[in-house]
Amino acid sequence: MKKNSGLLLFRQTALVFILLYLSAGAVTEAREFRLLASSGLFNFRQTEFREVYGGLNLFGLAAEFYAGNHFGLATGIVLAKGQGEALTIEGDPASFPVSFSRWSFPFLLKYRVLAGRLQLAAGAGVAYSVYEESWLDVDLSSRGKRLHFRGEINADFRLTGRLFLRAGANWELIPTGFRSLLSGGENVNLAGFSFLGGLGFKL
Amino acid sequence: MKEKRGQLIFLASLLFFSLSTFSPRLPWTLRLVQVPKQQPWLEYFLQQESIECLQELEQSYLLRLGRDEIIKLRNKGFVFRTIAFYRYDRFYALVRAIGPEDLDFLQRSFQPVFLEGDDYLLILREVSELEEIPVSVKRRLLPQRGRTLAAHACLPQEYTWLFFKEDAYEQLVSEVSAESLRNKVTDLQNFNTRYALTDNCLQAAQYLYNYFLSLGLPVNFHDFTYSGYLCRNVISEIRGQTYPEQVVIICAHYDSTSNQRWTLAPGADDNGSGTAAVMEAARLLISRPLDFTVRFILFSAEEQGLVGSLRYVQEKLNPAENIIAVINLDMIAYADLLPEDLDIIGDRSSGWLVEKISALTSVYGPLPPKKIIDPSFVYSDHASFWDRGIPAVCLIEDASVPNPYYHKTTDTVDTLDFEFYRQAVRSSLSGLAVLAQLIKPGWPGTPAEFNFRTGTYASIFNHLKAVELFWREVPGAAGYNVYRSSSAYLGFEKINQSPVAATRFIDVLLGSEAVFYYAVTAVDSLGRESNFSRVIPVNAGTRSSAALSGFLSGFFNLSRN
Ligand SMILES: [Zn+2]
Repeated sequence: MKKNSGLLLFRQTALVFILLYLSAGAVTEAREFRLLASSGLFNFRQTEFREVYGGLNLFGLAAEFYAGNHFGLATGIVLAKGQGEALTIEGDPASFPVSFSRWSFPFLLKYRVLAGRLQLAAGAGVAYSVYEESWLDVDLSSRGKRLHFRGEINADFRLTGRLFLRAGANWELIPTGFRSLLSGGENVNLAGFSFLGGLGFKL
Repeated sequence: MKEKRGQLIFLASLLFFSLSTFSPRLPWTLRLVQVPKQQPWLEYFLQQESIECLQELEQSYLLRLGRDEIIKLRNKGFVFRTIAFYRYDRFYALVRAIGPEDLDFLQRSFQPVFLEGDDYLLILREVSELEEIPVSVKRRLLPQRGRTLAAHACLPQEYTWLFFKEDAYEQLVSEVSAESLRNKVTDLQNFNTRYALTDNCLQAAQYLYNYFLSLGLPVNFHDFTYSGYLCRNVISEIRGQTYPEQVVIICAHYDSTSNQRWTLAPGADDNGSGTAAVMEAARLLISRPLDFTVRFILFSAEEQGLVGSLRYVQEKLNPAENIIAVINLDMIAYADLLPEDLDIIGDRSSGWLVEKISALTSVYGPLPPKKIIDPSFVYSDHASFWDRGIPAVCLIEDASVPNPYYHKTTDTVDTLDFEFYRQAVRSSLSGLAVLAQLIKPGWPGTPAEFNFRTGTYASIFNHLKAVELFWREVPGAAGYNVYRSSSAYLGFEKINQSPVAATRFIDVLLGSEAVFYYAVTAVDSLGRESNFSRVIPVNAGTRSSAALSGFLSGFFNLSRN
């Protein structure tokens, strides 16, 4: 059921991309291509997950394409990864190191406003995420993949004609369908908020 | 009027309630009951109900039961016989009377209750009444506290031990000297009598005390009074280098008796032989490092019904210690025919120890061992340890042909066979050294501080119920092996594929309710393996799931229904 709705979301987003690409031909004078490298911190929404990992380190490459002054498309690749320690649920505290990583490929529709050297933008869409958690001392691991919602806001500050700096925040909802002791027996949602900063280049 | 009657009824019911609550503890409701063995489900029932077994005999159990327990026993259809009401102000002695004169005497002077075979029960007002009984009658005072039957008592023949001669142990036993043994037994005999109530016996205690002192070992008297007389156990030890709280006891009684016990009871075989063997073991072990503590105990007043060892287990057991095993030596120097065999006697929970000592006896004695599992063989100090569930064996010369000088003034050094004696001492010493683990020079050291943590641990997607084992690093070790068993004493299997590099190992507990036992060894680059660490029990039981649901409901505010 959830997978179907994800698929639907994906199809709708793809359609929007195609429409945007086609409409881009009409307003060629405002066409703009932006490349960006960024890094930051991902924070799980659920307290217990934060207790295990703290914040995850985030590295991303993004490509954005604006067809006009306002609407654009964004895609890229993001890696969130970190190491932590399993929580002691019962018994004597002991240290079991664990690691988590998630590769994510977002497809977003973006809207921007320009004000001098500043560009403010908001985006929403989907991301396809592949995640894996493993225990380092014990043969225990889980992996999964999911298409899910992603939203972002960011502010770019133009340094030179082509170079700009970015500060931004993302919000993701990632229901997994896995039950977990740390979620009180409920399905795990890897939802979280990230902050990032980066350096971009305008083609 | 009505109100008064109401009060009366209330008081009466209160009285009834309190009486019915406390009645199982009241002395007049306790009974001594004899239950024949060979009844299906009997042992299971006794275990389930935690019924106190004061004495296991060959064919029956001697139980102390409350009224409710008797009703249960009857309702389950078990056959039993009530012997007497049990009173805490009486003394109960088990005696074994083999000759007809002994039995005549018992019947004239006491009212012995026949139990089975040659075994009788005497109920005494004063413990000193036992002194009137002829010395040829074996006796033991029943402990005031019984034990419940061990759930996992294992019988021999279920496993075998195979020992190969090892240089370190062979070197140790080769130093056992018949001459040294002869000198010690002669010294003991020269006290003329070591009857526990005499001054001579106290002098013998001082002699033993001085002996351990001369070896440079710590030594203590454990004093107690019996029938108004001072008696002293002599206790010394060599502290273990790796796990001093793990203890192996070697013991013997040094007191003696005879029909002229106040003046002449040389007790060369009974039990100068065992006493000198304990002294010899101390002499040979002082120069050698051991993983575990070896304790040397020489008991007094054994001939009074195991009084010295009874008092020891009552007063001196330290809950911080784990007594791995007890080797009791009682009459190990008389050989009626050669080759004489050495009897190695244990109760059912000591089956593993009987097997182990037997295997070592045939290698290092070398003597033919006779393995005997007989919980009714309680006429020496090992029985006091059996009562506490501590594995113990008695080593004794072939008991089927008794020493003709037993408890006589003729039990002297010249009747002993020193070659058999030397081999019996080699056997017991090898058993002691294997149990206490001789540290072999040049080999990897034994991993110290072996301990564990258990718990349930969770990450986002996975959780684990695990035992984390950890230990101190051994210098020069190339890795470690981890062993696991469902028994504390045998059946250990290596659970790591290749040597573990870290000083930590995690074993996943698969939600079973069993107790697992773990040990670890160190291996060097030549593949040589150290001694076992201490063995630790890990309860993989139900505790966790209850705690877990408690945690979850607390942590996530889940409702309990
Ligand atoms: Zn004896």
